[in-house]
Amino acid sequence: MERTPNRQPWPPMVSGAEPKRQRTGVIYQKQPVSRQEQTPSQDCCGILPARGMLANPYVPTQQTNSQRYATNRAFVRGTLYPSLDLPLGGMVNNDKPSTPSNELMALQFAMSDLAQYLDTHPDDTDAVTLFQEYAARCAEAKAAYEAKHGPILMKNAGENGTWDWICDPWPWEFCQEG
Amino acid sequence: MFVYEKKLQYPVRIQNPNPKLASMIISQYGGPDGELGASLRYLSQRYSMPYPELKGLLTDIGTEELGHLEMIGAIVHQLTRCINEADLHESPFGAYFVDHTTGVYPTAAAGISYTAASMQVKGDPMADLCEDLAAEQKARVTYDNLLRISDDSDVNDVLKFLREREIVHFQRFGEAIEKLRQRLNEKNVYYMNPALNLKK
Repeated sequence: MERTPNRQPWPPMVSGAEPKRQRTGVIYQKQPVSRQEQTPSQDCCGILPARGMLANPYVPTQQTNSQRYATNRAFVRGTLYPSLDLPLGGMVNNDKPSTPSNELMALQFAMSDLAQYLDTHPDDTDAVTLFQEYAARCAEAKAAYEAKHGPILMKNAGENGTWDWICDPWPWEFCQEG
Repeated sequence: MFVYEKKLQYPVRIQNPNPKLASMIISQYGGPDGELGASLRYLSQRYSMPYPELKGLLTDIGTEELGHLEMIGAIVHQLTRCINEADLHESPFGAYFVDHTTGVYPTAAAGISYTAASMQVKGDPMADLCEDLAAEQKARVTYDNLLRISDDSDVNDVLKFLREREIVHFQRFGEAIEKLRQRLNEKNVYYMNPALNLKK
């Protein structure tokens, strides 16, 4: 697995030498970036009312047709949406190897992020359909994960006739790539 | 009702113990802008939210924050495994060790135990959602600062993920305010508190 170097070059903490700014709002890209990331997409801009009311806070609403990362990329970036991917000092995580654990976590993460989007965009029927697609893939990934690591939910424990719910490792414990 | 999933939201696999770093990461467990406060804030604010999209969002983000609390606990636990006595002498971790050994206790990096005084549930949707915007920004800055301090790539991998979540949640809370505004008096959103269902 490719690792990021321990020390990243840092943007200056004081003003003066202004870092190069991009229209995406991403400050300072030191690492090589893909073509997609170099081109600010239209959906970096959200929707604001034409006239705002005084004494009111406004955050632009995300557009309904935003570009999305594939689930494995969204997972390491912490968002499904390139338009919301605003890393500190251009530091981004590399993709993780494809293991049953990472596949399941990536799909569950995509569902969770999309669900929060849907909470504020409940009329986006395409996104509802996508949520259902993720859910179906997630069920498959969960079966593959549990075959290797045991039950995730207590309701699925004991299926082999022993109380496997308490088997180590627990999630917070250190173990090598699993 | 909550059901435990026996897995983390995002993998935490810290190869090298580093108690000094743990004594700073602990702030996102029990510090003023940490994940414990975040989950309590959102899960508690739900009760006075009058509209479905706001109830749903606070439930979903509050639940995710509980998962983040578990991840921060996992980082601290793994950073403090197999430590030796030399790690305790003249180390910033020494003071923590005296009180908590290598247990995971909700406290700020500066040594102040978790206090609910660092969060608010005001019972007014606009006020609470504005608090939530600020809370996400403050947590984002804490992750920025931890990323500036830490040179452990395993830890930073997780911190970058958690930091990005703060930005996404800021966006969602901002959208929630727009949804709220659409429900209120369009000329004066402060005309009344929609959480108060007063008898006439």
